Amino acid sequence: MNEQQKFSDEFINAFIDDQLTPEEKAQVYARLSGNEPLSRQICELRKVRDMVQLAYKEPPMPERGMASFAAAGRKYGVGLVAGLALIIVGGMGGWFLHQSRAPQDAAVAQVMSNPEEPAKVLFHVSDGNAEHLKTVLDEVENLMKFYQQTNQKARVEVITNGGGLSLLLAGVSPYADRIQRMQKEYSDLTFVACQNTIDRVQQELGLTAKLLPGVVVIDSGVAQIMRRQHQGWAYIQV
Amino acid sequence: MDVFHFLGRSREAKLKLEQHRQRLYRIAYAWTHSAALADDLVQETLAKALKKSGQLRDPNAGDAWLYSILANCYHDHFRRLRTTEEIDENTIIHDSTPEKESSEQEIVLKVRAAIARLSEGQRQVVTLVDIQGLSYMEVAQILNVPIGTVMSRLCRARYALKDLLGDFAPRTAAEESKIRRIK
Amino acid sequence: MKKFLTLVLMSVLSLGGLGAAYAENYGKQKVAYHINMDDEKTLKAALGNMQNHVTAVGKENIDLRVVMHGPGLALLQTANKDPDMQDKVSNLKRQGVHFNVCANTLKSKKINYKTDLYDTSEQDIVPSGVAEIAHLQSQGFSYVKP
Repeated sequence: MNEQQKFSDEFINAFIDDQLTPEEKAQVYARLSGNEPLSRQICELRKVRDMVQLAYKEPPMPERGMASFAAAGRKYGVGLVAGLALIIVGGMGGWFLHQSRAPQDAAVAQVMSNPEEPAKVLFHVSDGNAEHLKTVLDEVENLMKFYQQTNQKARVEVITNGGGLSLLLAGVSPYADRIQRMQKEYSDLTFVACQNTIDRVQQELGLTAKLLPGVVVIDSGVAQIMRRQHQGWAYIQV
Repeated sequence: MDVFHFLGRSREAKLKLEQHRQRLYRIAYAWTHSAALADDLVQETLAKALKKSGQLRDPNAGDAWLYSILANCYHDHFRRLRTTEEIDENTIIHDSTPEKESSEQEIVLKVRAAIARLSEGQRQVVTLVDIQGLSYMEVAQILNVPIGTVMSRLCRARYALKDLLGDFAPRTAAEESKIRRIK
Repeated sequence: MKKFLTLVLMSVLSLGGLGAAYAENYGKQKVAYHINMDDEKTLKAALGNMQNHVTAVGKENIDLRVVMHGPGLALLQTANKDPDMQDKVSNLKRQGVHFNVCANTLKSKKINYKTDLYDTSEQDIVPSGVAEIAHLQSQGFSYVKP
């Protein structure tokens, strides 16, 4: 394409939809600076695209009763069982209810967010400073109490690696009793120790780690964190 | 397929299904502008999809295939119902200038009205690209047309919308006379 | 979310609309900044990071929430007395950044949000800072700890 040749309309549209090759895109970028008509054209097309997205962001929802599901099932020859599947799926949560939420609705949203679905939170502890460890336990306990008060089921893991391992070492941890109490009091709270760190402690310090009762060991703290995040767990670094 | 197997599946599978439903609904609504009809179409689409595969896969992998089913359901429905004349692919007619609106909801309604005025082919293409972010190739497969057709429909759709919605910016007298356009 | 839609509208209504930078993507970036430290240097740097973040992505393309709990409320306590920090916070707010404080912390540290924290209203309070961060992540927010 030489300097004098204009880009075709299709080409420009393909540009804004990211359907061009990198080389083709570069051509457009090269031509853009100082080129008001082209800039304006691109801008206006993008506006149109944005307006279309805007117009259907929150479409009106249909009226729905149980009867209509069964009817829909029968109508399309799907049969009662599949219709049932659709009922159950359709009954889950609002479609567009949770999309946008102003901060002032935070309290309500937190409580209502998903009563059946447990909250899944992992705390990552890698610093063994005593003051810091106390903060960790405070935060974990505050969170568990909050979920109890709001009747929200929750699964919480405290994953320790590096210096954080000292939280869970018998004879080293300043909070052995507190941890034991917390384990009794909160059913879905798990303290996790990293095997890699345990090995390093053995090799570098000659110390054979003895863990507090009830502590779970996994291969690698980092790997466990990644696995959990992949499963949709929230991550808190303390 | 074994629906009870599906029912017993993880919450994740259910959430994925819900995601698919939401996305399909947006498109179905944009095509029909009827909540009830869109709902029916989506139900039918999901039921057919479940039958075919037994499970809905990861949203990122499955989209184009689902929209093919939706497009087919849509066409089946409208083939049964169509009584009015076909709107010429190339013709759009612009009515008199509406007042300049400033409320968000009114703009949303205007855009929807404009989309409804497009020819079916243009409407399907522009919504699949803009709302669902599908590639031109995917849209071509979904609607069973050549990719060149996708591109020209999209072009015409966007320029038509620009005209129909151009009322939002103040216009010069010269532009006023260009309102009525037959491409 | 509402603010983004308003900005799209504003540019639609404006003349020409040159200069509006639209991201090529189909959604906003959502980020939650976790603040639970009170070291002033770190807090100032964090505010700087946030500004860089917003600038890089474009204020209409990002939903940034700052969630403070525990010692982290020091950010707004200091801003109450430090004009430079005040400016930074105000600027960020003007670009759509939300600052949320933990109700638990207010209670345990006996902080009065009206008098002790800079520009904080009841809507900015969340019942539990940590729960809020977990909740935001379940809503697709990324997590950043400065």
